Amino acid sequence: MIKKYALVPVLCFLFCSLASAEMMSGLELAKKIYNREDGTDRFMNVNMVLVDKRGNERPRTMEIFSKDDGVLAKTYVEFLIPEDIKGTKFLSWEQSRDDDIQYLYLPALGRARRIVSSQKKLRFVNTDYTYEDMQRRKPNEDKHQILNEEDYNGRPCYILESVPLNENSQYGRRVSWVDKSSLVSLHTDFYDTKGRRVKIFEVLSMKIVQGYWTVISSRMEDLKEEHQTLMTVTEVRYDQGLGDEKFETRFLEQR
Amino acid sequence: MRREERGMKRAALIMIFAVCVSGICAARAQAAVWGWGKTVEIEWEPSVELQSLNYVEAVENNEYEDSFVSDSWVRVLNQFWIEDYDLFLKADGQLRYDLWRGLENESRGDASFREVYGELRKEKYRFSVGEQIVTWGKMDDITIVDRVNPQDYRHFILYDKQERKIPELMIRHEYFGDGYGFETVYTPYFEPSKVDYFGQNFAVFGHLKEAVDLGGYTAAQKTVVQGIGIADEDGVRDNALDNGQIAFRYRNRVEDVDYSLYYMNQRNANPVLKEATPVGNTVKAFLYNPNLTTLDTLVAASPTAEDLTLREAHPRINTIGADWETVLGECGVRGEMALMMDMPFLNEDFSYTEKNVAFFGAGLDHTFEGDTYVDIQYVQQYIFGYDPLYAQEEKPFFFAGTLTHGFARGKFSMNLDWTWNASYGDWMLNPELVYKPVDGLDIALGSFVFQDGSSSTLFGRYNGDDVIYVSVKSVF
Repeated sequence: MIKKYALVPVLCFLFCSLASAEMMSGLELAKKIYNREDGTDRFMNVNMVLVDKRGNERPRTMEIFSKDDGVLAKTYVEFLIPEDIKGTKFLSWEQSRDDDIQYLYLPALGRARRIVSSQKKLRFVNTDYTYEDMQRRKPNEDKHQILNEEDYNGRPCYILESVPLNENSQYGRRVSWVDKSSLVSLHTDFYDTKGRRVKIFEVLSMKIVQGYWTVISSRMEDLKEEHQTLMTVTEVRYDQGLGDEKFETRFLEQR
Repeated sequence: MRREERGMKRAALIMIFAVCVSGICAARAQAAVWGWGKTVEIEWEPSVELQSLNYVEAVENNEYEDSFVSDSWVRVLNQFWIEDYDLFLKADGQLRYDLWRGLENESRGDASFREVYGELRKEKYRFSVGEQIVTWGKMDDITIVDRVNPQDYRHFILYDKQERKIPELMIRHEYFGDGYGFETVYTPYFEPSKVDYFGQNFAVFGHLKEAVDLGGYTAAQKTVVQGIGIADEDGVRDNALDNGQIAFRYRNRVEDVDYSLYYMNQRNANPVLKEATPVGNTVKAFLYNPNLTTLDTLVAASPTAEDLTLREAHPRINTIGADWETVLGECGVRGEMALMMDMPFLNEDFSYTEKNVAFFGAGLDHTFEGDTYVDIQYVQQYIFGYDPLYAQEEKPFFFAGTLTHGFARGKFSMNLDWTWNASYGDWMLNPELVYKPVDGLDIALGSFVFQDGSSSTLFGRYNGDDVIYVSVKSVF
């Protein structure tokens, strides 16, 4: 099935397959990245470590489920560790035309709360990912240009520049090293609207799981705060036939 | 043996069991149980929560006040999931203790269940039985439609609404349709909210009895005041089915708006004092407005024991309500409304009466860049068939809000909760600084300030009872 949604940040480029050695425009490349095959649904168990500039580490573990049915792309995230945020849940319905619908369940509140998806600059649970990073940008929201081709960590890559066409992004531009064979973005530099590089995303390892390229470990660094978020996928499953009930608010409120 | 006493003993046993068991197993566990000729996998998740709230009065008003209060508990939380039977079990118990006063008075200790229930989880429905907490409504820390559980007001509002809720024995069923849901909650017995009337800082009538007993009053005055008592209304706490309560919720979504509709037939959990005889109104006049004039009037009435015994009224109330929630631009917006029939009040002469009341509430929240969160809520009340009531206007309204700012990726946060009863002029501020040195540990330093309004208003009553607190919470 054509994927319309990716679940975790920047990892939007992750599971790409398809490759083309032919010359193509930046927009064509962006569309190929966006419309890559990655199954009808997916499950991941992810270990996340927040590392501050002094090297202090704060571990997090979460489960991520996602599914798309051609109309809605749905994602469900539940934190398992540490104990004080265990049970915090996040549900997102990405709509093709309208703004996304997002809910957050906090155990202390006892109910699912609607949150504003358009507040893209906010950090997702104190990580280095913002809510914008959590959402996949549609190819036609940016002007894309292939700047060059070069090897990155020994893999041939396109260097793709993406500049927002309107003011709906916190970034002024993004420059990504996109692996030609997998179409996974191995490295992305994020620039603010003043042209300063503010964040770096890089893939540390990836492999093919059930026929889909999957990033196994990655790093997102906030250069201003000297803070980074390391993510490691410890378990991944595709095409499990996930039911819709997982992506309803009632599941969010289930104790 | 009373239901409460039975519950205490039962809970103590359960607590001992739960603490021992959880101590043995500090992490998630999977157990295999053999029975019925096959192996049943049970996934077990125990955790422990420790909390200690310690507060001092900012100003000592009289010698009877407790200048230092410490309310601490250990809560053992156990969750079991038996996938083969789609069965979820929850068994939480707590041991709560007022550390300092507990040394003088054993009754300050409290061993009890928290939530203990079993839930059958199917694709189209959920069915649960046991002691549970229900959260309805969309607004924060405001009770318009979130009325299923009674609340513990013994520390007034020093705890938030979710923490104040008292789990109740209930049968709960929820059906899930295509995008909609229908929920029924049946509570077979009635459990009122917990309120102290005398002898505590946040008791409704504070330290009035001690003040008279130990003050320069006549023997007759002291005898009358000491004779004042509060009793249950006949049968209201009996484990009788005619004390049962029922509540329904239907929820759905239209366009971009989530909404729910409610109907509830319940006893009013918060008590209103009802006179047993007409002289009882003179008792209430003294309690709510204690001075020499009201005391002399009461003594002059030569009250009998029956006159001096007021009843906690918990009339049955029918509630029709609704809530909704959506987003507007970069703000979350939500609201609740309800029509409650036969709510209890006091007339100006302190006699008991009942009125129909409408509530309307709306709230808006926004998170700014830099981890600053603002929430503002407005609630309007309207009393139908209004006659002059004690401490109650016909159309009162209030505002409440929250302002929080996080630092250092959540290691520190500054919070400010506030409420302004615009119609009565009293207000409350709750500034707080929270430090999270490690995951699972919160240390908070804060204050509650109650100001202005008359002594009959919600916060004016505690004018001069401001507190400074340190709270420590750990979960592991």
